Amino acid sequence: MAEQQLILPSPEHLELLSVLSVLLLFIYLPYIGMLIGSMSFSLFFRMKDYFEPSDRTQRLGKDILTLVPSSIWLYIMLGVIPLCTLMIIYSEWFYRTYLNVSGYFTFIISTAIIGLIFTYIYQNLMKRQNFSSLFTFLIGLIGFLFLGLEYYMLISAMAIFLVPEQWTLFRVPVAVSYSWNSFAHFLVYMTVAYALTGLGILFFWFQWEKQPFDEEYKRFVRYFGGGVAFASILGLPLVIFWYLTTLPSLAFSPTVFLLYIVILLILLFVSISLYRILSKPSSEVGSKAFVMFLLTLIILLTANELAKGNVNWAHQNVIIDLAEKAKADLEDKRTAGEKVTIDLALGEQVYKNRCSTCHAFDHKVVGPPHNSVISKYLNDQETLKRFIKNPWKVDPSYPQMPPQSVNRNELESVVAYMIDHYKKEYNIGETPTVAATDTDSTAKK
Amino acid sequence: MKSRMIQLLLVGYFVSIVVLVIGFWVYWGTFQKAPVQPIGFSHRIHTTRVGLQCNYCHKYADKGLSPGVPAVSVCMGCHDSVKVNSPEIIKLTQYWSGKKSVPWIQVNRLPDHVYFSHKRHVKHGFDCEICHGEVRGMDQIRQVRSLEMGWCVTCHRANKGPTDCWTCHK
Repeated sequence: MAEQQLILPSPEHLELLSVLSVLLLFIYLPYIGMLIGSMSFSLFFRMKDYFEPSDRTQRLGKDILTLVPSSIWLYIMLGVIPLCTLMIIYSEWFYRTYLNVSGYFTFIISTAIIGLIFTYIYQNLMKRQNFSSLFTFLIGLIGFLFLGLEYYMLISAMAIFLVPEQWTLFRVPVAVSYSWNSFAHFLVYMTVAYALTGLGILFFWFQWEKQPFDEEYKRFVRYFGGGVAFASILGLPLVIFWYLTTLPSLAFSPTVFLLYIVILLILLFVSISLYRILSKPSSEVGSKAFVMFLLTLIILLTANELAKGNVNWAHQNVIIDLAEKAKADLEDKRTAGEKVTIDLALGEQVYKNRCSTCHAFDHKVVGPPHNSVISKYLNDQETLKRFIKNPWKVDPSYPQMPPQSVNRNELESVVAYMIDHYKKEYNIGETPTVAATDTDSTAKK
Repeated sequence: MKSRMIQLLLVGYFVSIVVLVIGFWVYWGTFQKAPVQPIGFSHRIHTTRVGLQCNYCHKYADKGLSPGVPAVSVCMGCHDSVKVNSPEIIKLTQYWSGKKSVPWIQVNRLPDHVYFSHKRHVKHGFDCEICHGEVRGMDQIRQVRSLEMGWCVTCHRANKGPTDCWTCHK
């Protein structure tokens, strides 16, 4: 069975996956977002310098690449590994849907690796080569486009959770990713990426104060970083509101609305801080704004996770129920060769706790009285055991009996108890010692 | 002075977006939230735990346009003895004693100008979950598909179903 090959989830396991995905996205999205932001500005300055050569645009075009720490190991740790982990998490969440999630994520990871390789080459070339080199520019452009594509596809994967009505129609997730919700979602996170890039420039700017930079360059950097951040943060509320209007109504709950209101209020604080930085430089305000914006990001990811949960709780219940059945089947298989202990006291307890909800021996409750049906199983107890585990329709005048999740000991014991009770009721011979399949068994009273 | 004005403008801008979000919240709560049924019936318990099939209660899904909802007597077939002390079953029993049907609130509803036959779709082999979502996981029933024309037509095209207007707009 396919379920045997899964990590069988419990409700707690699925909640843990939600927390883990928020943390992974909190690592991944800012890092790659700032990488995209810094790459795009470096390329922009390269193009600007082509038309209006300027020392400070050249300088910032190179310096901005140092905003995000870059090395092959960091790309792997903060880029590739979170994506691979998210692939596993999403595959588990999308279990039993029609979507080929692992294939989609393979494509995302491949695109990310290509983008990171070109980005790494571009950064190293920029250290050595002429800023005006066309070859360097093209390498950087390819890296930026691949990273941007991969960013869109990952954010679309997050958005796919919010449109379960599309799951049955398409096998390839990319078909589901072309929706207003995906575009709006992408725009939110791209705006966040540029805000982080601008704030990151200001955050590290106070370190730049210790560098021997001239005042004109510092002013230029401050206004550039502050301006980018300020513009992004002013645009973010509108983008967020548009995003909310594209969400299905299932996604909402009072908590989701409250979180978005908190996000908007924190953005108000950050925007006022940025305005103060632009009018009067202060490294402390810059660092506070950066930290507050990171808090905004984690609240945004949490709100998205809650919205996802609101849409998908039915699907998660289905996964949990399938997992419970699979665990019961695995337990049966595991204990198949073990000794079975038949205990009439245990059988009586199982009967009283489970069977008596719908059955009695001498009268109809929901199902037939057992005294009227046991007789046909006296010489065929294996059929009775199979029936208890997986009932089939016998008498149309009674509702369908649901399958009973009992382990082998409980099953053998309750069957023995029912037969013993029947035989005592009708004085039919001695108490049976019901033989288990091919194992030793002892009957205890 | 100018600085003060700009900060006030910023506050005004963000507060107006917050007001828009609150307005959207009120709209959602009034018009879009899943309805609360008169009895807290859990499809999850009755399908997954009890093992009932859809057509045990919705008997007419393969027989007519509408699948129907069960009569109170169907529920009482089990619940005159099962979980009789549960608050929701007490409500059910009150409907039974008062000889009243349960006023279930219809969740999946198509406009009046749309002709939809459950029988045709069931006989064609389509699973109930395609349109109604994973009902077996729902503790509270809700509409999960938009059931808009574009969604229906997409499925008809994918499954080589009829797409002329008369099919659904008789």
